[in-house]
Amino acid sequence: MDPFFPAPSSPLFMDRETAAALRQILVAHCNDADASCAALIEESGTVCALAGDDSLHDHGETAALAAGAYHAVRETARRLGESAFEGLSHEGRHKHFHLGPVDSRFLLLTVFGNDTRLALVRACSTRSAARLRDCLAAQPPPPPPRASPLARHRLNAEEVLGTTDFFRER
Amino acid sequence: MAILNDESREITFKLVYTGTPMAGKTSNLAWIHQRLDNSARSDLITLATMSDRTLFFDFLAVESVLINGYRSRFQLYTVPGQANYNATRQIVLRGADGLVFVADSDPRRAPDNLAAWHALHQHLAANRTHPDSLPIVLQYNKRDLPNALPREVMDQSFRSSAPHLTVCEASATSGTGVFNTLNSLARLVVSRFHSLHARVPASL
Ligand SMILES: Nc1nc2c(ncn2[C@@H]2O[C@H](COP(=O)(O)OP(=O)(O)OP(=O)(O)O)[C@@H](O)[C@H]2O)c(=O)[nH]1
Ligand SMILES: [Mg+2]
Repeated sequence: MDPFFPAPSSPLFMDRETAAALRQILVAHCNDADASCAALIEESGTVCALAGDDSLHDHGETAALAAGAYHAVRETARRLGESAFEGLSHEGRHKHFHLGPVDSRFLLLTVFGNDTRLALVRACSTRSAARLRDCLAAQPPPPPPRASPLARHRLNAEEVLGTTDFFRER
Repeated sequence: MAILNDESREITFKLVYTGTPMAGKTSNLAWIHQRLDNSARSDLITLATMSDRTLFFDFLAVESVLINGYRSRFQLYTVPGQANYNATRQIVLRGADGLVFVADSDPRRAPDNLAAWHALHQHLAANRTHPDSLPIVLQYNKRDLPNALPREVMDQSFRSSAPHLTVCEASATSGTGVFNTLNSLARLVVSRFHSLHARVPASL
């Protein structure tokens, strides 16, 4: 089975409590790792939680690029016969970043400056990834469709959605 | 795969433009980027070779209507068409909620259309994904070409394997049909999500 093709996969429902808890973990991660910001990114490039400065406050471009780079490097390693993948780092002149695995679906991006050691960021990333994993795993399952407060709108979904223009050209 | 965040009240879907090499996937995104207000979209990110062939992907995030209080966001990606970029294409296809298959109406590209179409179905089959379980819109692009293949001829080659597919005609460089394609796929993807999970209501 090709691990990269979109297999029918389940959506991610993130409730408020989980979102807040993930953010708390990232805040602690930034403090521990002496990082300027950190983000939990889903493999499709969506930022699921964010802490620190506003470096990642764009429309998702940076996260999409980070996810692409991460998967490309991991796949390169796999093709070269290396199955272990601990993440990747970029060292610039002033700003540096580390991308590390959380689980098969999420990655952790940490941005840091010159006063911070990469080794510390790596170590903290491993520890924070475990916390993020636990937090994601502890999330209660989403309510079954009928119990969902939104389910009552179900009736004419096809009808309404069938005529919606999600985007209008200017 | 869709992500619904109760805190930011956002729901995000991933849509991927795949298809025949050089059929106009990047041109679709360029048009969408050009024709949406800055506030409703991200920058257009293109990772291309010197000759403008897509090397890894193009990316554009677009915001759309509120769905019962949830802002809907769509991450649009294109994949490289060239066969030697198979590995990068598969990375980008990962986790897609819906696909646009961009086909080329140039008669000389008919064999390439079919080769790309079959390659897509092989991937689907290898991953036990029934084509009906993943929303796909088929776009016949470059309808402006004077010698464009008649629509019926293109239908014959594609529809034998997928008779119920939504088809949109387009000319991506002049924008014709580009938003129609995007809206068609967005509707399919959101409807499907709704019917499976009923967390996205029909009231818009
Ligand atoms: N006549 C015509 N030309 C088009 C149209 N759409 C795209 N093209 C041209 O086709 C060529 C390829 O367009 P791209 O948008 O780069 O195609 P692509 O599918 O992204 O290509 P790859 O990423 O390399 O597979 C360019 O020269 C475009 O100008 C169209 O609707 N009509
Ligand atoms: Mg392209």
